[in-house]
Parts: sequence; C-alpha cells; structure tokens
Amino acid sequence: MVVKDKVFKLLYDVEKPGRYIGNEINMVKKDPEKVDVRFAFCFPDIYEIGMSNLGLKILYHLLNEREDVYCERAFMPWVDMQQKMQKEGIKLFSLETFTELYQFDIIGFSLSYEMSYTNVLKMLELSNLPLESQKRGKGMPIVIAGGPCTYNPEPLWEFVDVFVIGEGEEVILEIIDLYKKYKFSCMTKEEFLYECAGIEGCYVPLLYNVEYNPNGTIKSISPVSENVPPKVRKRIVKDLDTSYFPTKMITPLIEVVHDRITLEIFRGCARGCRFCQAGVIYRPVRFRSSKKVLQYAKELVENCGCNEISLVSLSTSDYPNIDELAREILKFAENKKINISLPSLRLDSTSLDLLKEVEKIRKPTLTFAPEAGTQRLRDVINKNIKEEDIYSTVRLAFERGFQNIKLYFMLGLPLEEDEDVLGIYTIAKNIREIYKELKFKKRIRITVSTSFFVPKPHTPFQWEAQDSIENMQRKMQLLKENLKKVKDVEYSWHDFYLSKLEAVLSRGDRRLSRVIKKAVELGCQFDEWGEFFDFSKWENAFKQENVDWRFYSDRKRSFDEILPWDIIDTGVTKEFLKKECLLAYEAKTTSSCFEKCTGCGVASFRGGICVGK
Amino acid sequence: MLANRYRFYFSRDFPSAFISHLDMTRLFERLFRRLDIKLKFTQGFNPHPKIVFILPMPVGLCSEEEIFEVECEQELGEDIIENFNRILPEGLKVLKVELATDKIQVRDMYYQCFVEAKEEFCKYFDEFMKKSPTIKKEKEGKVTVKKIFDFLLSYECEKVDGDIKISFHINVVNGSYIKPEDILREFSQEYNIECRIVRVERVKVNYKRVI
Ligand code: SF4
Repeated sequence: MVVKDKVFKLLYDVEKPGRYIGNEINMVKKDPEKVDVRFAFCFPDIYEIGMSNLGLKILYHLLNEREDVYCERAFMPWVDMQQKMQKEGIKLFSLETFTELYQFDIIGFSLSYEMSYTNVLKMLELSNLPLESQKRGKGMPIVIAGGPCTYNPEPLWEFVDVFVIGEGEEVILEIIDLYKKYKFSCMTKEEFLYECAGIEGCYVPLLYNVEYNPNGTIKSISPVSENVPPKVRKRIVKDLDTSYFPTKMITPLIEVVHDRITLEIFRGCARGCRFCQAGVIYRPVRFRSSKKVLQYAKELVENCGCNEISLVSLSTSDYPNIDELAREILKFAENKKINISLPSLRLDSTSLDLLKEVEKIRKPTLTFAPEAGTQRLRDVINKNIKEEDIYSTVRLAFERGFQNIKLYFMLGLPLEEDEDVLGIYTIAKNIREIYKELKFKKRIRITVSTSFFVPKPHTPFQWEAQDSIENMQRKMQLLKENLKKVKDVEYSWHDFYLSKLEAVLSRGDRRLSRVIKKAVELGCQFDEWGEFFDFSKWENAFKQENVDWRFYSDRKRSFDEILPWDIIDTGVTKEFLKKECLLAYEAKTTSSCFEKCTGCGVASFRGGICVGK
Repeated sequence: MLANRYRFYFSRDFPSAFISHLDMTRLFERLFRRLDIKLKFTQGFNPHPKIVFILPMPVGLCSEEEIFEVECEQELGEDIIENFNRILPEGLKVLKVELATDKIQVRDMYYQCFVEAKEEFCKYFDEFMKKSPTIKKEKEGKVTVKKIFDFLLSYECEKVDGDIKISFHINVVNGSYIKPEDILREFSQEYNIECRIVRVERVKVNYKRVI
C-alpha cells in the first residue's frame, strides 16, 4: 500500500487530521520523477505553527520556481499521530506527495526557536535517518538548516551537514546547484561539504575544530584546512524590491496560528535595543517600496482570498508614510471585507487614528512593550519609550473606546533593581488611575505580561549572566503581590525553567549536542509546549552528559572570552557590541540609524539605509 | 441592493473530507473573495459572510451531495460552477447552483461506514443492536441519552473486500439526529472490540421543501 493510503487510514483516529492532508490552495504539484532535486522543507513544530511562518512560504515557492527542483513540506506530527505512525511503520512523510523523507535529496530545517531543537532530532528519528551528519553517507539526504537560530549553530553541530547563515533566498539556490553536481558525479560527500564551505553564508561544522580551556571556556575555533574560511559571513538580499516574494502563496485549509496574509514591508530594525537579536542579525534596514507592497497586497488577495493582511516588520512605524500605505491598501480592502493589521506599531495619537481606521473589524487591543519599568532601565536597554507617552496614548485610547491594554515587560535585565520591578506596577497602577479619572462605565482589562531576559548571541548583552531561578521567582512574586492591589489588572509570566533552557541553548557550544540527543532519548519533545516541557528530564540529560547548564546561562563572560558563535560574522562588529554594552552600564542611549549612523559595521554589506552613511 | 440567496450543491471526498465545519465556511469565504463575488456580511464587530450549511459536516465525512446556502450582494453568472471547480481543492466539487426561493429541511439520510475489524464484527454488532442500545454523551457535565432506534430506521452490516461495511438509514426527528460514528463508538466500547473507521460517507439525504 502506498504511504498516502496508510496515512489516511489513521486520520479518523487522530486529533486535527487536517494537519496531515496537504492539498492546500496554491500547493505546488509536480511530478517528482521529472525533477533533479527533491527538497523536503521541514518545520520542527506542528503544522499550524509552521504554516504561519513567512520564511517557509518564501523558500517553498522560490525553490519550486525552479523546474529542476520539487520542494515539499513536512511538519512535526503531534504525539498521537507519531504513535500511530510508529505502530503502522509509517515514516515521516511530505504533505505534497506523501513520500517518506529518507527518499529526498535535501532535508532543510527551519530553526526559528531554540526550543524546537529536540523536535529537529525527533523528526530525523521519525524518518529513520541517522542523527549524526557523519553517519549519513552519499545516497542519504543532506541535512541543512537555516533561520535565526543558526546565528549560533553549535548546539546542533553534529546533526546538521550545512547551516545557512542569514537570508537564504540566494544561498539555497547555490547549494542546489552544487548538490546537482554532487548527485550526478562521483563526488564524495566530504568533497561536497568542502565545496559547500566555499559558498558564502554556509557553515559546515565538521570542517572546524574547537578546543577548550581547562575552565571549560573555548580555547580556539579553527578550520581544518586552509581552504575553509575562518569566519562565515551572513548573507542578505540587498534590495527587497528585486528579491523574490511569492504572491501565489500557499494558503492552509485549516485554521493556523497566524491565519492571514503576511506581507513584509521592510527588513531589519534601526532602533538598536540592546537585548534584541533580531535587531542585530537582520541589519541593515531595507525598505520595500510602497508600490511593490501595494501590488503584492492586491495579488495576494486575488490568489489567496484571505480576509486579513498583516503588514509585518520589526517596527512598523519606521516605514516611511505608513499611514498613506495603510490607507491605500484599505481602499481596495474595505469593500472586499479585508482587515488590515499593523503589528509592532509604536503607539501615539496619529497611529491610534490609523489603527481605528484600518483595524475596524477587530476588537481593539492596544499593545505596548516598554520592556522595563523605569526610565533608567529603559535607557540601559536603549528602549526609546517614554512613560508620559504611554499615559497620553492610553488616555486617547480610552477616549476612543479601546478597552484592552496589553503591556509587555522583561524581568531580569542587566542592572535591574527591585525599584525597576516595582516600576512595572506603577505603570499599571497609573493606567488604571487614568481610566478612573475618565469615569467611563465599560469594563477594561489591563494585561501585564513579563518574560525573563535571555542573553542572546550577537547582542550587546551577549556577555551577561541570566538571573538565577531563585531570583526570577522572587522578582515575579514581588511584582505579583503588588499588581494584586490594582483593579482590572491581570498578570501572566513566562515559565522560569523554559527561559533558563532557552538561555542555555542560545549560548550553547558543541558540548550541548550530546545533551540534546540525550534529552530526546529521555523523551523530550515539543519543549515549548507547556504540557510537554519537563525541566527535570533536561536536568537529567545534563547530568548524564556531565554538563553544567549554569555554565551557559548564569555566568557572566569577560569581553575577551572566545564565544561559540564567534565563527559567525553578522557584519556588526564585536567592538560595536562591546561599546554598546559599556554604554548600557552607564545608562546612556544610542540614537537610531535614521538619526545618525553609529558605525555598527553592517554598512560593509552596502544595502538598505546604510548606503551613503 | 437586494441580497440573493443561492443554494450550492457540492460533493466532498478525501482529502478535503478532513476539513472541519468552521474551516469549510472559511474556505468558501476565501474562494468567493478570490472569484471577486460580493457576499452579504453580518453587522457589528467581526462581520462574517452568511454561509449556512444545511447539515454540519463532521471531520472525516465524505458525501455525494451536500448543500450550503449563501447570501450574495450580486447575481451569479452561469460560469459560477466552472469557476469554483477550477480553484477548489481536491475532493471538493460544486455540482449545482440555484437561487433559493424556498426553504429546505432534512427528512432522513443514508450513511455508509467502512471499518477495519475482526471477522466476527457483524455478529457482535447485530447482537448489540438487538439490545435496543442508547448513545450517551457528556457535554459540560450534562449527560444526554438517546435511544438509537428512535432515530435509526434500518441498518445492515456486511463484509466487502476485506473491510466491513455498515449502512445506516437515519431519521431526523424534530431537527435532531444521531451520528453513525457515535453508534460505532458506543458498540466498540461496550463490546471492547477494536474497530478502526476508514471512511464515513453520507450517501444520500432526503429533503422536504417548505415555502
Ligand atoms: S551601519 Fe550605521 S546605519 Fe547601518 S545599521 Fe549600522 S549603525 Fe545603522
């Protein structure tokens, strides 16, 4: 029996069978026999999350533009499906043709969150493939990985053949070309990997040696031969207008997490928050022209029929004339009953009016992310939001009928004092006061959410220690006790242990690959799902592999320590990061790239707004 | 503008049979938008199009003919069936479209269920059905009990190429009915017999028209 029939026999017995049927609008259909390269795009989480990922859609369609490639998709099956598949001897399969993954030429993982590392291994396991790169010879799929997590690829170094660093649109095509050469000749896998290392943006971990000092820090990272570059420089697309963007985008049949058209209006962020990794790795800022955005929006509606367009970027207000663009889209969207959403908008009176106008269909919720409770600490992290502005916007918002206010903060930031924690309470209290003054009768809800600071590679805070679990707990309690005193306030906080593990995996080195493998053996998967995450299993895995997790999370590094991700060059120099870190210690802010170039180093890419600076 | 209520007849099979009821509505809404057909929407926050399925379709149900009605703010052209079938995902097919001037109600329906089970399945199933069984359902702490034969007009259990086929003729009583999957579940629980459903099909629905 073919795999498809076997799969369909299971579908009456599993949760949400729509995850496993493919068949979506705009899914690409090809004859697998007629292509040279079969590519399986793997997302290490369930369908509903993977299909909300814009990167997946861009690369899926980009690869399928090529006649010689068929790119299909595979997601992590939910546990009920995994069990059934195992019982029936079905290996992980693609949704387009129900082909088992081991039959593909290349398996590409999208790594957007460290917590999905165990799922990556699990997916290889469900495919019956050896986990270690070295155990997969020619004839078995090449495993590549891309996405933001590859900026520190080391924790997965043993399992992935080639990491793509940076934006994959161009690199991936170069890898395919090289793969064809490899597949149709007697080239060995080793030779293939050596040549891959020559493609800019490709990191082949097997071609580097890492040595350690007795205290556990890294002594050296060195390429195994002269032909292998000592550092891997990220790739970017220089111009968003000429780069590929799919407008016949695959559109799910079942509800997914972000069930809308996502249209990227610009890449990168000019603001420079010191904890933010995206702000560094996606530099420089590159705008897509409004003409293109408008054209894409129209085509996407025609081809997908969605009822919502989301204009995405890291900081929407920084798009020149965002009002005008949104209103232009609204012109044709309105009579087609399409909603426009503008995430990551900075809130002030003009943007409020814009929001009211474009987000007509949605229950209005205002979201602020001041990140820290006091101006001093916001200066430390270079978050340019003033408390007075929050209050004046909230006042306007209440007057305009907004009833839900969401506030996002981080606990455990460097230099944080209890006073800063209580500052969060003060903000919530003052917002509630404003409402009281206005004497409205409607019910309101103020939601305060805190996550815990996770020091991330390639940021000015990459050297910082994360708070201990005890400290996290204490700060959370302190805030909780105080927020209880304020009416209409709900408080939610992020899991301590999850933040801890995230910190460990983000800044991990090669020694973590064994731990991750052990964790999978001990049953870890879907770690970001509350019902599955079990830190004790992880602790056990660390213990068995003789690795102290605190070494990675709770330890402050010195500026001259060799960091595991030093091998990766983002364009932003280490000197710049260090300078920013020292400015943070003095609570001095740095202006955004729009005001003045502060010389981060990325200008060497000669793209976007840095050109001419 | 006057709204026109149209009645769409369509069939559903694998793989689209695994789309949930809510997702079906959204899917059709999107297809109408792609075809640039203006639908009538409800008022207020979160307006949604007025698409109503005469019978909700549980996940997994295949059917020869189902009906939804939709209110459009325009007249539909003759090419509507063709246009829909060009863009519908595999498994869904529009059969007929008509202007709805009357109302229809379901009178009774025929189902076929295919299950993988042991040889003696039919024997035990007959035995179970002889005991005038009930279906118990718990929803938010409330238990409802329905007698199967209040709704079931007839059934037949037979072996067809390795699988077991059970046909049901189900009556709709005061707008309420029972699902064949529930009968099968009740049976397999009571008899502790593993039966794996591989296909559920609504073969025919009889309607009555009211003006
Ligand atoms: S080079 Fe200058 S303008 Fe460009 S991202 Fe860096 S700081 Fe900003």
